[in-house]
Amino acid sequence: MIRTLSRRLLNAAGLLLAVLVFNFALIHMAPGDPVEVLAGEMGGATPELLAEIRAGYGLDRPFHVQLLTYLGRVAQGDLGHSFYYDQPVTGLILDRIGATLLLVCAALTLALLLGCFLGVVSAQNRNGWLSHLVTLLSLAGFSAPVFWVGILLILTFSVALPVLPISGMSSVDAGRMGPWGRAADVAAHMVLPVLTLASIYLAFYSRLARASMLDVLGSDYVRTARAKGLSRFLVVYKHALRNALLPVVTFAGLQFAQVVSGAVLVETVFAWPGLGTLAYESLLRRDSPTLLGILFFSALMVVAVNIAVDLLYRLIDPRIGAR
Amino acid sequence: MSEPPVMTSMPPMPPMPVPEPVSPARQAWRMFRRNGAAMIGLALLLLVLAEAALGPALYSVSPDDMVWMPLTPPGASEYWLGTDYVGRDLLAGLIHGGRVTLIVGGSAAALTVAIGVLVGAFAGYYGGRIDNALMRVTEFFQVLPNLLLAMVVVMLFGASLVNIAIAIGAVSWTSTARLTRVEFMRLREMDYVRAERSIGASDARLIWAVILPNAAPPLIVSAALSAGTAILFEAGLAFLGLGDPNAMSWGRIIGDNRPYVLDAWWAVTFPGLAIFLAVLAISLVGDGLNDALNPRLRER
Amino acid sequence: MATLAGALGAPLAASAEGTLTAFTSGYRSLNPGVQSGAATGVPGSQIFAGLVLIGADYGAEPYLATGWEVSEDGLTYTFRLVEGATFHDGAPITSADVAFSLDVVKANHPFGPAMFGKVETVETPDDLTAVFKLSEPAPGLLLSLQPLLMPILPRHVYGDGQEVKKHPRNMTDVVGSGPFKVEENNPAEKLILVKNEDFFIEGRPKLDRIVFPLVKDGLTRMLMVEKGEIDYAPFSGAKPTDAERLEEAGGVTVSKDGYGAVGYIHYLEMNLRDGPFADVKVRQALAMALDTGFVARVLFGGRAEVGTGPLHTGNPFYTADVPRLEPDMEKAAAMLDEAGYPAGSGGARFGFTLDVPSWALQSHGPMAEYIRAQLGKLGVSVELRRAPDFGTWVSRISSFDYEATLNGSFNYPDPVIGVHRHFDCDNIRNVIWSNTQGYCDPAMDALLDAAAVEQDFDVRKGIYAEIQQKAVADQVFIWMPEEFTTTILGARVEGAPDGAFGPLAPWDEMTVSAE
Repeated sequence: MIRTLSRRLLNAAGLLLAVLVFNFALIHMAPGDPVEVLAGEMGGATPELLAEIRAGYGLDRPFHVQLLTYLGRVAQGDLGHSFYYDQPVTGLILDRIGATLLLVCAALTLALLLGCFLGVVSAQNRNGWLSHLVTLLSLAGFSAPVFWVGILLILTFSVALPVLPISGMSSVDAGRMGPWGRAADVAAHMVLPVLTLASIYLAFYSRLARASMLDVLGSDYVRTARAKGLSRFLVVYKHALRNALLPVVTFAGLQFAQVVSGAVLVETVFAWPGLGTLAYESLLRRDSPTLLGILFFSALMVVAVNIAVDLLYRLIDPRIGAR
Repeated sequence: MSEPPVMTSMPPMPPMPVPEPVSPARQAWRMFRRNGAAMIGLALLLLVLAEAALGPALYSVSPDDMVWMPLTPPGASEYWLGTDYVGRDLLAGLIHGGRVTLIVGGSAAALTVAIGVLVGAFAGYYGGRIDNALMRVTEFFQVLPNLLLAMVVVMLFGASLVNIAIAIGAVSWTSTARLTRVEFMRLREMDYVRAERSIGASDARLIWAVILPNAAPPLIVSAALSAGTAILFEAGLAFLGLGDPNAMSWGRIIGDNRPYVLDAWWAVTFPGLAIFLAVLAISLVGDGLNDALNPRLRER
Repeated sequence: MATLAGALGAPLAASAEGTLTAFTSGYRSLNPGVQSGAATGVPGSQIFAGLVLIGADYGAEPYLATGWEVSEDGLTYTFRLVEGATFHDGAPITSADVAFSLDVVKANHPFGPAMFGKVETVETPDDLTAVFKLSEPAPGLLLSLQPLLMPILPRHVYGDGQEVKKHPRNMTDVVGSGPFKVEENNPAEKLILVKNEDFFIEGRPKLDRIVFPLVKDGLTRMLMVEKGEIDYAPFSGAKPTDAERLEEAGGVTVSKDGYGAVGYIHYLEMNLRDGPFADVKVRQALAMALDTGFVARVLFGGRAEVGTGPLHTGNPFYTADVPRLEPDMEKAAAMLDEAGYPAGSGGARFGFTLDVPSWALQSHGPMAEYIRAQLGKLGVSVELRRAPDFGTWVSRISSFDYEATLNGSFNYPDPVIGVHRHFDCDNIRNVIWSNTQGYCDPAMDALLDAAAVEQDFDVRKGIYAEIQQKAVADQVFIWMPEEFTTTILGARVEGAPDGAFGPLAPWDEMTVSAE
């Protein structure tokens, strides 16, 4: 177990190093000079001032020196200094990560629970109308552009029937509410973005849960259990369900990077103050240190989630560890 | 979806004369044809394709011309679906935009499949170190949020249709690669592959002429899904303002008109609906293909 | 349903009495002395005081300066400061701070040299007297001494040797001199200002708090205004269609007042150095092809003014008497033929790339689409290039690496600040919103120099009329409709500032009544 873990960690470290090098090179390769852009933000600059700024950020040194400096800093937990926000990137990311995690975790949980429920139910009456309905709904969920769903939800529930807040994470006067009031306020703001984000993954999970449930229900040991006279309910919910959930959880882990992508669109539509909006803003400002930091941080999260899922998997299903 | 055919209940074949064997493709088509949802999807898809191919020639209004007062509602003028924020015919935009959207989506999907199959085939066929190295690359692209990466690429290298298609393809191929790899690992141990190898077939022949055709069914399904995802992807980029400003696409119509959504729901709703229907059609067809081509499912 | 939202804590009504909810867009500094623009200027004018305020008639009124004298020759301005005024940290505001602020603005503000280049020194004979010594008369000097353009900054904070443009105290622990203090500055979410109890004007400000939710998305902001979540929206970003809808719904006022001094104009800027645009005939042909009246009437719902030249229609020196070319596609085509760009195969004459910046997309977007469609009819193919970010666009334009761009700029009340910069030969610099298009004409320079020192208003107005006529005759730019700049006021708001700078002035007399 320990060996596996350390091998996974080593692998993860290699992966993250590759992410850093690749992104750094990509942004470096791009046409245009970040210093010129920076000078642009300040309203233009003379060649002398440009050279001065370039030297100030160490951008006049050869590529490999810059890269090594950057890697060295990251190793010490320093993701650099944002050009635009004029703040340490690590701080900027930590400020925003909470909001994104809240959104993503709520959406994933909702999608997992509801998706598994729908999948299991539809697997039980395969070829029945319910199964068809779940299939169709999940295809529809996959096919609708997520930002479009968000806009339509806003138009419906914040404009036509004004029952939910339009956007953001808290009300203008949240500062005057008590702790419970604030929590309720954030919860109200979460409803639409969470539903929007969950709609995509609901589709995936319900289909996956359905498929793996069908697999498990057809497997020998469930047949044996049924033959032994265990009740249908017990078989489905105790034995089969647990085994059917494994692939869904694994898939959720693998898909985590894509969840972050979805969050960029959803956060933009709902002005949710998370990493997605930060990424979009820093892209629009050509704030490469922040952008690099966010890409790295998302990769870090994905890797961590995958290791966690992997470990969880081994705990649930000891057969894997034995392989 | 209809009752699956039960093999055991088929009538025993007469010994003579030997009938034409039913080809796998024909058999799949039979399965597919019985799948109502898939057939609806196919009809819808053909409609969308026909629209993109012929629509611009049949509908003469230019999508660039300002033809009427901006934000005219549907039905209030000769322009059935109304006009957009600068008074262009929304229907013309949808018709011309469909072509752009499908071309970008299609070429991005083709690129996705090409990279995915190439990586997956080599990894699965050769195994060992090559597999290891290629899977590391795959993992690498899997841990990066693909939309974010595509945004960076488009942003840094310019928002032309070609760049957009390349960016989408370059960040979306990982699942195709994994799927191809698994199929190749399974198939390379098959008897007919061994037989070919024993008579001295080259690696290239084994990969492209022997294994790949047999791995095709799941890859076709995956390609269909990639096309759907690529269309959604293009729309997402255009919505964020990273579309090509010189080409009308469905996503760009939504992105451009979004600030006016309170006055013109139609300018956002209809292109969204178009994307939705196109992707739904592709998904339904993909789903039907999956049922028809996947023998394991067929047994159920 | 409404009770559900209520129970969940979603506020449907606006904030409590004494609290004003307003908005400003994203800023990266709260110090208007080093950062121009309305995003910083709106909150900055609350946090910092200036020597004077500018009334609706463009006259200077006392603010931190209780009075001033101008010498006969226009070379000496003596200001007396209000007694007992303090910064937000309790330190007294003295003439040394005034002198310091002037130095900072002169050195760091994009308009520093234009505004205060002629101020040689500021003498401080005592704590409450500041004497400005000028090298030449500067007739617009007082206009630049209000809080937006010359905020009074604490020397004991910013004078620590750090570069003021990047000083950490521009965003954290901001110590101001104006009617409101910073309570919370969270650029991701909101800015909260609270009443400065020790403000130097008795009984002001009347508000207890100002909350600025920092929402970048325009649509979201408009929805917030619509739902009454925002009381006061200066530089509201409302499009003409939004204004129409809001007015129909009632309950709020959409006002175009108070933007004359800022004077936000738009124009098509062509790089005059080489290619077709070097030829004035080509520029005139394009000007005749583009019907800006149509753009204003149809694309902007008739609510934006048709710009006629370099000065905003609300500027005191504006004249409508300029040699504008009437829209005429046939004549335009003939002129292009004449200029050596005949229609080739398929009617094509020439093509160019039009840059579209990201900072005013709601105006430049429709304009760009119109220009592309309209010039296409003339055989001039336009390829749009949307700069993804502000900096990329700025660096393209300020390094002169472009063919044409949509652009826009602020006049500011004194044309010396906002207008001369585009036409002066000496101002062809690698700086955005300078003379980036590369226009140079000694006759124009002579007119600009004369206008800069002329102290008689009517004579000066005459010179500016000539300047406007010449700029239009040379077709330096093709002027587009002006920005539709508005403030949206909720029904509960009273006492909003009504001077020439509109909302870019202290909101110390504003109140929010209970519903």
